[in-house]
Parts: sequence; structure tokens; C-alpha cells
Amino acid sequence: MSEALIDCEYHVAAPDLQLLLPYMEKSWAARFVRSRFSLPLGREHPGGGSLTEGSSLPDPATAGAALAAGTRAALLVPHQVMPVAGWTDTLLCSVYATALNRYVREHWIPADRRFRMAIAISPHEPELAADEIDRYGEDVSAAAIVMPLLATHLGQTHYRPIFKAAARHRLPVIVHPSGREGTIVGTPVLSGMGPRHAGEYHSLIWQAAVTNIASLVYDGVFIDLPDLRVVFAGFGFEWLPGVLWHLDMEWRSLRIDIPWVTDPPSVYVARHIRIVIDDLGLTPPEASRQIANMLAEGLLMWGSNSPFATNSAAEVLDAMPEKLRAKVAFGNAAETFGSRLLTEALA
Amino acid sequence: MNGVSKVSPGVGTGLSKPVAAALSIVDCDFHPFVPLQEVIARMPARARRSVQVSSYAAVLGREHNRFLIPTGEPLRLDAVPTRGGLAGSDPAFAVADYLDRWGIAAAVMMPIQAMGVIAWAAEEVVNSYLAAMNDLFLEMWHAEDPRFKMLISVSPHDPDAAVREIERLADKPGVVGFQIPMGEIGLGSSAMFKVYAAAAHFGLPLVLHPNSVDCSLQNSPSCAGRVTRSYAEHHVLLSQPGQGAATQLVMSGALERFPTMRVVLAEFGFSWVGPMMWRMDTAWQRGGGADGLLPRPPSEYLLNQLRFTTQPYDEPGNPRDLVPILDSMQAHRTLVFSSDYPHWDTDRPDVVLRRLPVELRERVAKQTAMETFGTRLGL
Amino acid sequence: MDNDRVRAGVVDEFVLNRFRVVDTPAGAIGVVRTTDGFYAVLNRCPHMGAPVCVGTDLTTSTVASRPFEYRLAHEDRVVRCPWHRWEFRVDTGESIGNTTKARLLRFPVIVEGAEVFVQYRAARGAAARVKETPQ
Repeated sequence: MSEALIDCEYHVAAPDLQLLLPYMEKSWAARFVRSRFSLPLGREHPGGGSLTEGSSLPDPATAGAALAAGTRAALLVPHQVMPVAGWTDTLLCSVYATALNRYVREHWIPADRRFRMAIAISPHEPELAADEIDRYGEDVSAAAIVMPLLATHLGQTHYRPIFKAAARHRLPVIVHPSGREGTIVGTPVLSGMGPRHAGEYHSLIWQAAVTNIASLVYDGVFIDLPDLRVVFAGFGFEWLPGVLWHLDMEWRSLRIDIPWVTDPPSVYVARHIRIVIDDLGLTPPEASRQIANMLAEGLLMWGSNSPFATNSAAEVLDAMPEKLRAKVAFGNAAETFGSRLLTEALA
Repeated sequence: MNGVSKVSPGVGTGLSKPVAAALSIVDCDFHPFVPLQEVIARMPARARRSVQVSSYAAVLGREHNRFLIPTGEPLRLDAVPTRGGLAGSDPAFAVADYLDRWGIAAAVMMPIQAMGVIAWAAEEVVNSYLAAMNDLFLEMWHAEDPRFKMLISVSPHDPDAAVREIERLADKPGVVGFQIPMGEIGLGSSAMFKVYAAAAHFGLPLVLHPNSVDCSLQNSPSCAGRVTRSYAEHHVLLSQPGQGAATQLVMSGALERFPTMRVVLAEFGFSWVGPMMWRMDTAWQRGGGADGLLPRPPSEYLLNQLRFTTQPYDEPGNPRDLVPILDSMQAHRTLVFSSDYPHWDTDRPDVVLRRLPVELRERVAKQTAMETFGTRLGL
Repeated sequence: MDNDRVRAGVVDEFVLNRFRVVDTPAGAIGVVRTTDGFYAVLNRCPHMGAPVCVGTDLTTSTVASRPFEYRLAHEDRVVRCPWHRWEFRVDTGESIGNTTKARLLRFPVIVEGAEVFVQYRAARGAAARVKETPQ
């Protein structure tokens, strides 16, 4: 009997713009076509990597059967929304995200009762994003929100309508790399990096998560919105202990300036932040286990990163300490995403 | 006991006597000041007019009101010299208050006052300002006590000028390395190679440091994201420009090209080193890094050629958690002691060395620094 | 005179909220006069051993509030370390904002007429302060 799994990061994509156009007003659809909008390739993972030659994007009709054995629920992440971070027509970004969601809702959700959608939003227009979240507020097929990061840090007021809507509907917000960080103006800078060598992006992308965790905690977002959860997927996790030590250390020194932070920052992280492990890379498994042991037990969750997976669920779980395996595989995601994830009643 | 035994409103009261007599320490991040009016007086008249000094301590660099410091002062409030002035402005006082107290055998001077030149457009002004400052550090600090070791500050804008300044000063007694305020030329850029070649010729390590205009000046490394709202948020991200520098130096192939080059990343922390090294190796294995030109995994260059300082020393709730972190970066050969004296977030030498695993103490206190800076330390 | 106390000066020598540091067999101790009497704490921050009484007068801090509100509190009762700016109540020795369980070590102060003494053997659980005796 396989271990029960919840897949927190299963990538889905629309293979062709024609599939999205029916989900826009006609005038917008015409504009997408007229201006030669280029649909981001579903075959390319926005954080790096692409499908190998000969392999194809998963198809809704067959994808369910190909889920890892033991999967009880899979969160569908429409990763084609990530590149909006680098686009400037912010209204177009929202129209596009809405179309992606309708595509996923109609093509994917009915295909397997374990599928749940992460509502794709563009962070450029927070009020429009909040409207999009509200549209799925009562839909049990939606269990999360997903968006890329802008240069503006998540603690700043820009994002507040998104977070308020997320907290209102108890929908965790997943952030995921867009692949534009460090190169495209308007997306997060990566420190020291320009458009240079490919490896620099992978080496530094975790910085964007660190910055935004610091911003969320120090600027008191979780004090205003105690029901909010923010999930970082695709940034790794092995850097987290040192970051938590520094967050707590600076707070001990500088609390006078952020007095609303009444608990150590690491406590807010344990309560409100989650990390999806979707790629082990060359981190030695023993080091992964040691590092995971330093973290709160509810923090880490497994995501397959399918169809771009580099590790099997078994490999990821083997790199976790024994006491955390069931939590990483299932329990933490069940707690974080709540009843919508596992309910049988689908619209 | 009767009567007032000693009433000391002054400096350093209550710190214990030198504990480290048995352990002589090399401090790889010590911050002295020189009087800027004196620096400016030594510059050519035309250049002099374009230097604006915002205070005794600093040239105009960071926009002052960005992420204001919550308690107003970035220096140790107990390290004010007896004769007055800023903490770190009086060599004789620093000898007594710091070198002698803790058994510091060598203190590598990192001149924060050099950093503001990142914002300056006129290259000749930059060059004359840094040259005058370099001379003054030698005359005022190294001459006062040879334990104060000199880093040559070189222009971030003009590699040819940087080479000339290295050539001018490399053989002066007391010079142990050089420093570049990180600016618009990436450290992995081939434009920097002539500077690295000159440094390699003289055997001078490069020391990099948060430049106090990080995340402020357009031409200086930003934090990830873009703009931090508060000083607390800024300060927790202080290590990011160092992470960027390490990545550039390794992944560009600069370290591969200059195998004798050593780079000390001062005050950028260290608990990220092991985890980032694994990420670099992963990226390399998947085809990234110098566009596939690196013949060996990035971790090899990092471990062989980059050095990291202890301050700000991590304070995990469970001190044992540091052990695997130190192991992952092979701290016995990559970690060197630093105090950041007299800045507010300084680390006390005996406290930090005592918190290290016992087998690392001698290595971190002195040995690895001696291997890095070589005989120039004179130890 | 007892053997367990050290003279810290005369009352008039104390500037309000400014420490005078005296050497005692128990280590250097900072003695300070406030509007509600004298206090004494070991001149040693529990964090890194910095001279916690040197460099700043007793000061004021902030307390829990909604994000972006700053409510002043602990007026003139805060010892702020000159190094990492850790903050403690001078009267209880506890950290402001519960940032650490570590406390300042406190000592009783005796005022006899114009003379101020600190009882250096009576640290920890002992009363942290003694009211000024009426002249």
C-alpha cells in the first residue's frame, strides 16, 4: 500500500492559445490575436528546465491515471501565468489569468476527482485579482491561489487586496518563480545578477523567497490577516534555518521599530508560511534530513513538480527525517489547504 | 569596601580583561575612519570641489532617510574615544579598547568611507579620492600600530585605475589585500580580469563587504526583490549582495581563470554557504554556469577560493544546529573570524570563538586567515 | 559599613536616568536614579557581555500595537545595550517585548542620607530597588 500523498505542485498548461480565447470577451480575444500575443510555452518550466524531446504535456484525460501512486489530491498549478510578472499591460495580464482559470476549471477539474485548482492571478492589479479569487470563493474545486512575484515585496500594501481575499476564503497563496527574476524590469532583482550565466538564476532564486518572507513577517501581514497562509513553491528549503535565525536575531535587536511583531519571527513563519519541496538537486539527503529537523514540523510539503519532476516522491520523502515523512507527504498539505482538498463533493 | 572604588562613565567599563592572551586573533573586518576633510585636502583642487561630505564620517552615498536606523546610530555607543569623535576614529583608543583587550594580532581595515564612490560619475575624482584615503589609512592607522592591516580601496568604475592603484601600493608594508565597492561592473565580468591579474601578481586577496549603499544606489547590488521598507528588513537581507558576488565569481569562471585568487566575503554571514553551494552544483550539473565552461563543480572553486567571516554570528535556538551548517561549508578551511568593530552589530571575539566547535577555534581565529593573506600579515 | 556594599556616590552626583558605573567584587555595576528611586544592574548584557550601562541613558521603547502604530511605553525605564540594542526594564531586568528570557542581573540600592550604596552580594531574586530614604 502506497503512502498517502497530496501533490502540492502539479503543473498544467493550455497547449494552444485557441483554447483560451473562448474564455475572454470577444474584443479581448481579438486583441490577443491582433497583437500576436505569444502564449508562454507550457513545455517550459518558468523556474528553469523544460520537457525533454519526445515527451508531451500531460493531457487531462490521462493525467489522473499517471499521478504518483497513493496520490489523494493534486493541486493544479497553471504555470503559464508566471510570465505575467514581466509584462506591462496589467489589464491584459488579468484577462489572461481569468482565461487560464476557466480553461483549467472546464478541461481539467472534471477529468479526475482528485484534481483541485490553484487560482491563477496576476499580481499587477490586486483589485482585479481579488475579484478573480472571489469568483472561485465558494467553488470546492479551487483550493489555493497561485501567482508570481513582482519587485514589490509581499508585505507592502500593494498586495493587500489579494491577501484579504485569500484570507476571506481561507485559500493559501502559492508563489512560484517566474523565470524573469533578475533579468526583466518589474520582477524581483536577484542580488548581484544581471542577464548572465544560466546557473546564476538557480543559485540565487531562493533570495526572492527570503526577501518576501522577511517582508511579510516584519510588516505584520499575518497580524492583520491571521487566517492567511503563504506557500513558497520552487524556491527550495535548505536555506531556511539560517534565514530564520537571522529573522529572529534582527528582531531581538530592532523590535522597537516593528513592535507589532510580538512573537519571534520564526513563530510567524511556522504558523503562516509553507514550503513546497519539489526538487532536491544535489543537496545530500543526509543534509536535507538534518536541515528539515531544524524546522517546524508543519512547514514542508511535497510537490511533484510534474511534468518537470526531477525527483520521485519516494526520493523526496527519503530525504526527510522519519518523523516528518507522513507530514510532508500528506498531513501538512491537508492542514494547510483544508477540507476543500479532500472533499468528495465536486461541482 | 568603602568609598568609591572607581566611578567610570567612560568606555568599555565592565568588559573583562584580555581573555584571549593564549589565542591570538586575526580580525578580517575592522572599521576605522579617517578625517574626510584631510582626505579631501589632499585631492587636486578641481576634484576637491566635487566631493560632498555629509558628515565627518561619510561621503554622500545612501539617501539618508531610506530605511532609517531605529535607534539612530550604527556604531557601538560605548566605543566613543576618550578624546571624542566617532567610534573608530581614534587609532590609539582602538588599540587599547580593541586590539589589546582581545589579543588581536592583526585587524584588516575595511574602509566604509570608500563606498560612496559608487555613485560618482567623475572617474578622476574617484581615483584621487581613493588614493588620498588609502595613503591616509597607511599613515594614520598602520603607522600608529602595525597590527592595523591595509586593504587598498580601488575604483569600481575604472579597471585600469584600479590596476594602477594596486601597483602603486601593493608593496607598502601593512598592505594585505584590496577591496572594491561593488558597483556596475559585475565581479564575473571580463572587464575585471586585469584587476584580478594585478592582484594575483602581487598575491593580494580581494575582500568584499556590504557597502552601506547596497539597495540604495542604482549601481550597487540590490537586495532581492527591490526596495526594503524598514531597516530591520534591510538588515536581515544584508547577506544577499555577498551571495550574488559569490555566484558571479564562481559561475562566470573568474575563479577558474585565476586559481590563486582568494576572495573574502566579509559580513555577509555564512549559514547560507553550504546550501547555496549545493544549488550551484545542481545548476552546473544541469548545464548552467559559465555557459558550460566550468570544468569542475562550482563547490570546488567556492571551497578553495572563497572565505567567509563569522560576523554576524548565527544564533540558532539550538546551538547544535550550527554544526551541520559549519560542516556543509567545510568551515575548518573557509571560515575566518571578524568582529565588525566598532559597528553596533559587532561580535565579541571570545564569545564567538567559544561558541564554535572546539576543533575549529584555532583555525577560525587565525590559521585560515594566515593561509588566506599569507606572509603579508607578518604573523 | 557592611562588607557587602560599595559606595556609588552621593545623591546629588546622580544625573536623572544616567548610569554611574562602579567596580565591585561582583563586577562592574551601573547605578541609576529615576523618578521613582534608584536601581542597580550588572554592567553586562546577558547577550554578549557588552557594558550595558554605558553609552545611553535610561530610555523609552515601544509596545505591541497594530501594524504601523507606534505606542510609546516603559518611559525612562529601558536599558538599551550599546551594542545590539537589546532592551531591558531597569526595575525587573526583563527584556522589553519578551525578545529573550535572559535578564539583567539586579542589585539593591541603599540610600543613607546623601550617600548611595549598592549591595553587590544581593543579586537576582532580591528586591530590585529601594526607595530613596527621606532626608
